[in-house]
Formats: sequence, C-alpha cells, structure tokens
Amino acid sequence: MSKRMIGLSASTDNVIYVDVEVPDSDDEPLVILEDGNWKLQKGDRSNAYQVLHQQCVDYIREASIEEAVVKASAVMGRMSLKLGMLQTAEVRGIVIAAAASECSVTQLTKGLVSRTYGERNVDDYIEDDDFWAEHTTGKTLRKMSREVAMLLVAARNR
Amino acid sequence: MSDYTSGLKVGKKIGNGHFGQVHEAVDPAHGEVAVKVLQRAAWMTDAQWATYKSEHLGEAQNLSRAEHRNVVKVHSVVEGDSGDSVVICMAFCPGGSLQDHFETGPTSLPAVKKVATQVLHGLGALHQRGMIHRDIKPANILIDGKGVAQLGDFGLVTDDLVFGYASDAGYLDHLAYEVWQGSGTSVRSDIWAVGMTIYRLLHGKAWYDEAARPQDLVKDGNYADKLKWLPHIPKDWRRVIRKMLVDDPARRYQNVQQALNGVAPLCVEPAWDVTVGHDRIEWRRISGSRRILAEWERISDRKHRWRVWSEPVGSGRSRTLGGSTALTSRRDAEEGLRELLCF
Repeated sequence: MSKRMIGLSASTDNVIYVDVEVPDSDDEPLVILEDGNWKLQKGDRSNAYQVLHQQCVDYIREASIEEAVVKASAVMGRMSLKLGMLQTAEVRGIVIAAAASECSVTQLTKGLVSRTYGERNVDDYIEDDDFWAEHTTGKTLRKMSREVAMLLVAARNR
Repeated sequence: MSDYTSGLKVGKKIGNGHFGQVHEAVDPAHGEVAVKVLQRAAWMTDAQWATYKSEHLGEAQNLSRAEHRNVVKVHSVVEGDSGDSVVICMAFCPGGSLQDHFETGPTSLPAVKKVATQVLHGLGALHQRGMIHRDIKPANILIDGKGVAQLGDFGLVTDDLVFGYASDAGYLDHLAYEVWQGSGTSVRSDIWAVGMTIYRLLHGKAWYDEAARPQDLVKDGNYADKLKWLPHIPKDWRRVIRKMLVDDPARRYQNVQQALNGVAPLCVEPAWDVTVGHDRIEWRRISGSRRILAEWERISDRKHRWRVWSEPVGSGRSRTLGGSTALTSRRDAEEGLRELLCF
C-alpha cells in the first residue's frame, strides 16, 4: 500500500515542505503532491510560532500524512554560534513538535543521508536533474526543495 | 421550536439570516449552544428545497464530524418535523460576529492580521476536506470565548443558491469576478471573498459605504485597481488585498497556504485607532510618552485640509509633524497623510 509522507526543512523564517505519496514498490518514483513553504509571520515570534505550529498540524492532519521526515540540526566544523542558527533551531523544534502531534517523525541529517544512501554525496544527487526525473513524478519539484525531497528518498530506502 | 430536538432549550434570538434565525439555546450534552433554523425560502421550488436540504444536511454532517479551532463546531444537524426546516446545533460564540466590528469602524492592522490568519486556517481545513465556503464575510466570522476567530454559517452549499441568496441578502459584494462571469465558485473565489473581508475590516462601514458597491463594479473588471484606501493602510497590505481580488483567478493566491504566506510578512505597525466621520477622519496612537494624532477634514469634494501632530501624554508642548498649509485637493491630502501615517 502506498504511504503519505512529508519532508520538512526549517530556516529562520521559513519552512519548506514536500508532500509525497510513496508507492509500495521501491521501483516506482515518489509522487509529488505538493511542494510549498510556510513563511513565519513577521513580528512577535511567539505569535509567529503559534501560527506556524497550527499551520503544520492542520496540513499534516488534513492531508492524512503518516510520517514526517525532518532535516535534523547539524553542526559542521567549528561554526560560531549565530542568532540565525538558534532561531532556525527554534523553528525546527516547533515543526518537530507539530508533526509529532499528528504522525510519526524521523529526523535525518544531511551527513547521515550521504553516508547511508547510494554511492554519491547528497549534493551530487541534488544537482542531478536526471536523478530527479527518475525518482519523482507528479507536481513540479522546485530545485530549492530537492534537499527536502532527498530526505524522503533516503527515508524510503531505510 | 420544541418539536425539533428533545432536550434542547431554545432561548432568545441572537441573529437573523436570509434562510432563518439563530437562537441561543442550552443543550444537555454541550451546554450553551447556538441553534440555527434554516427555513425554506418562499422563492424555492420543491426541487430546490429538496436539493438544498439534502446538500446542506450532508455538508453540515461533514462539519459535525470535523473539528478545527477556526471553524465553528457543529454539534448536530436534524431536519425539522414539518419538513420545511433544517436545525443546526452549534457552538455558541460569545464574542459575536465581526459585522459589529465592521460597522463600528476601521479595525487595526494587528487585529485584522490575526483574524485573517485564523480565518485562512479554518478555510484551509475546509478546502482540504473538499468543501467551498462560498459565504465568507465579516458577519460569518464569529469570535469564541478566547477571542479566536471561527468561520461559521455554511448556508450556501450550491452555486445556484449563491445567486438566489445573494441577490436578496447583500452577499453580492463578496462575489468574485469569475462568478459574475458564470464560472462558479471555487477555492480561489473563497480567497477573493477573504480579500474583500480583509478590505472591509480595515476600512469599516462608513468608508466602505462612501464608494460604489462592489456588486456594481466587480462584474465590469479591474475592481482591485478601483479600491479606495484609507491613507494609513500600508503598501504591502494593499498589494496582498489586490492579489486576492484580482480578476484572473490564475493570478490570485491559488490556495490558502499561498494566501497565508502573503499575509505572514505584513507589518502591523503603526497600529492606528481610526474614526471615520462624514466630514472628518481622525487617527490616534501612542508612541512612547507621546500621543500621535492626525485629522483629515473633508470640507467638500474639492476642498480638503489635513494635519498630523503629537502631544505629550502628560504635560509638555504639542509638535506639528506635517499638514496642509491651505485648502488642498483630496489627492494631495491622501498623499500627505499616507507619507506620515505609513512608515
């Protein structure tokens, strides 16, 4: 039976979501049902987080999503901590909590996907148009959303 | 009323709709509730009423199974014993409808942004369930006990009824261009109606009534470019409302998620308290220890005067921030005020 999944990636003021139907057969491509983003409301962040939480819960509930895959926090090298990173982590926390209230949630780092999926680096797959033509169908997937869709491709194969 | 639902104690009338009345009531299971009785309208044929009744019962039953923070909860739906009515028992919203706010005057930017966001959340849930609301307007947005906006009144379940009802009930102001052209209602015509609702709340009834009614303009096209704006409405708000009200549905926000993304970055400052009178419009707000005030005198169609100044909340001197040095045109008054009220 096919499965409805959503991939989510947070940034300081935006969440990219890719809603897909995952066919039962591993040979069939992911069906892109929706590729969009939720913008964080301008102004007071507590209100903005409440709105984002509801937006995320509503979407997952109404679309009957069974599993969410969230791009997990990761620190690369000796990065100095910046406010933007902390705010991104806050947004990610909101999204994880919202998704977990409606479905199961898996968190994947880009590094983990690179180590566990295929032979190539994630960024190579993201750039490869042929890869996406082969692995996805349905609505158009924006280039900026490929990294999120990659989480779903990897999660499907776990 | 007693023949409708056992145990339901129906109280005073709290609203009047085209199809029937809304009463306060006490339900044994849910406590304080609102009961809407949809009566068969005189103009309905037997076939129209039968269709309306069955579709309305079906849709209301869907709603009764669906819960959402921004949709008025429908507890039960039954057909009246006489066969000429449908009785809907739903959550009571003590804050009343936004029609009262609209009639009182312009609503502030933060309040409208909050309502627009909540209404879009409720509408998104309906759309994802495959429903079209068809009747979004201030009167159908209710405020619950926690101050949360909820979409109510799901009376227009078919396109035929939209025109039948609208022609009598004044809803024509909320019909999108393509509906006038016979294309029927859709997700995007609901978004058009949200745009009109936002516009109305921001401006209030007195200002809204000064312009020609949308029902006389929308069908001719380019309505979004004919809107008359109060000077304090910021550019980004105007852009979002115009995008919701554009004639071509393909150029509108295509769904609620896109509309929410349009609303998300809207600024909510400065939050003016505005009073619109026949010949004078006044703005007030507090900034730190000073009160900022503005007034626009509309002496005649061609003669206008305006000024913006600040006063200390306590003691101190008033300061002039801008104004017309002599009588001026409406356009100059609007431009001068816009520059000082939107920043």
